[in-house]
Amino acid sequence: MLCARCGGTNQGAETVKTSAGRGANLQLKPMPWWLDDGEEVCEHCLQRYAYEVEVRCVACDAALCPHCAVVVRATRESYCPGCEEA
Amino acid sequence: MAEDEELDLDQEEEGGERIRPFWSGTISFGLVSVPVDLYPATRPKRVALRMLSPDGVPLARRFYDERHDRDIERDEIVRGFEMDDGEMVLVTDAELEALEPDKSRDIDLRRFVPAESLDPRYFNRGYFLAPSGESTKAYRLLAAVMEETKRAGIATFVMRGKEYLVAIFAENGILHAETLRFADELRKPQDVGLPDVRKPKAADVKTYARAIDRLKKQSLAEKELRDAWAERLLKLVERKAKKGEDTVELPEEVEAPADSDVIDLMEVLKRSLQGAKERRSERSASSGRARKSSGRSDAKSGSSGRSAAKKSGAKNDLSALSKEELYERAQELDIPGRSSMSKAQLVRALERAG
Amino acid sequence: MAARAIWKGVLTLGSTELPVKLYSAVEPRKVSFRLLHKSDREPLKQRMVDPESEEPVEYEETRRGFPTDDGRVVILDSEELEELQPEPSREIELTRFVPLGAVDPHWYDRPYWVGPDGNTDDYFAFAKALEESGRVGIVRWVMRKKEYVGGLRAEDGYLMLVTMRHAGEVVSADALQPPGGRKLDARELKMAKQLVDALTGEFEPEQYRDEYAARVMELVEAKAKGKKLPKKRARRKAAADESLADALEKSLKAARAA
Repeated sequence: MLCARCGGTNQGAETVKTSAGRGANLQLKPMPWWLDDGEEVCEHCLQRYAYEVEVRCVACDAALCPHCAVVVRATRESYCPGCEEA
Repeated sequence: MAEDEELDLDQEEEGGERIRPFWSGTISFGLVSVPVDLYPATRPKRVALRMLSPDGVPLARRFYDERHDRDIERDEIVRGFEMDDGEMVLVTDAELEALEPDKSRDIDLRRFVPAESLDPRYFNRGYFLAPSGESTKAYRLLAAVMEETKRAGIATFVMRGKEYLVAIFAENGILHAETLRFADELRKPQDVGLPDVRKPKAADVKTYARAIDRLKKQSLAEKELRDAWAERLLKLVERKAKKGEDTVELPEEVEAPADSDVIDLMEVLKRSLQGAKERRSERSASSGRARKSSGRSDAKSGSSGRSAAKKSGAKNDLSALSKEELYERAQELDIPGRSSMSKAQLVRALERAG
Repeated sequence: MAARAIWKGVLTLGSTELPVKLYSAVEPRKVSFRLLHKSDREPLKQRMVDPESEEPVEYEETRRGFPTDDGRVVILDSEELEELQPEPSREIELTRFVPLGAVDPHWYDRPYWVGPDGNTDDYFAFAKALEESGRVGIVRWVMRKKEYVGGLRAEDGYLMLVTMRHAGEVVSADALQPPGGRKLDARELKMAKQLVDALTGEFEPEQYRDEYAARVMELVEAKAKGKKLPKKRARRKAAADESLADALEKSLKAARAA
């Protein structure tokens, strides 16, 4: 379901409600595009993410959402959790 | 709200909710300005597995603060730039927008190149451009000229905090944009360590040429672009669903997943290209059509993912509205408990309120 | 400076086999932005929860499934999931060769360099033959448990493979109706054509640079030092109230003078 305001998928608005608990004030602020569910599917967690924040595994080129990518501090290279052993 | 009525999940469906354009601005060539809206030309992956709890409930993503082990609301989240020394510098979207070049809402085509000369390695993503101004004349003029001269216009622009090189094409009278990779985003063969090119033996080249010749065809076959995995998945799911095997009901908390509420991009593109301004009145009428046509429009292209041909004829005007709109109305009427209502519950509450 | 191959396969063409390695042709982007908690700037982590109970579920305990149209979810076990997956294989099968223009660029997704894995002479012979044929080879292979289709092209003496999107993922312009309107003025069309001609040149990708990224760095560095960036004065845009024909004329004059 796409958000009429910001063009992102609306999963965000719904989860705001549930994570805030029942009866909490629902804030229907537009979700920043980098936080919203986009149209790409992360190969690791299967959640949606916006293409512009995509990270690819340096070892196997899997498409990952930024939350799943394991970043090596020193080199700033990203790996998928499966390829991390390197 | 003790609702004993059976929750009809049909009412959860959005009918024709608008897709907002990714970006709006103008395309200029010389002093001619063409106001446009940018929409994606690629559809999302319709068929993808969902991650479930052991009970089969589709899981949701939550962000949490590891140190305090608590969930964070989305509006408590900000973006930071990580410096080399590990320091985090907060950056807001407003600050990023302020950095955009003065004419960033303007794609200034200062160069045109033969469309064919663009190597596929540069192509990143495609978008359609719909005219957004009062008149379509400038749009059609640019499209006609580019199509006739077989050229593409090149420019740069900033979108979502990143600068893109973009090529504007025209096809079938419609303008579309392809974001391109910058030269330094592409690796050269030497960068990946390929050996230097060596001159091959003529006889070997001939052998390969013959092998290539044997598989010569005029065009791609439709079936080659099928998503065979998706087809297999859907068949299996259908089979199991029919038998009720390993099937669970979606709990009320979880809205019908994004996949099933796909607003057909085609419908949106069609309408934006024709400049449909009155969408509200169209919506309930066209939502039924939109569902069906999205199933059929992919006939040419094989697997279209899930059939979205679910009946969605609005039971009343309210359920054709988006959840946001329903919430706004509920807010106006000061309906209690509205912030924790699902869409169906909002509809019922509004109906009762009269 | 060799990059790591992301995959190894065997190009098959009829009865010939050519072992190759695949490398991403896209330079990996360094990750810079992180998601932080507003109050203490702690980086955030993600976890998956059951939205009903808000209980987190460990990755290892998660299951996979697919929602149906009627509000149910069908759960698939690991055996079923494996059966759905294609047979693992190292084969990169060439199925046909089509003219270069036969593949609409919108189908293309990600480019990879294909390098030899031994048999270097055969590799360059094939690349040459492909180049001379003026064709692109359509290939099928299985990588990361997924079926891929791509176009194999000769580029700069080497082989390049660009993956393609699935049917249904790309909206074709032919399926859409162009915006309508009154017939275009012949004179305006002519001037527009002349203008495009005047602005025509070669595609020189090296000419373009991501300047915005540099500005972001400036901002970030200034903020890190506690400084503010000087505000740039916004240039006023020219009034856009001239007719299309006037705008075209003026533009042509300017283009010719340049």
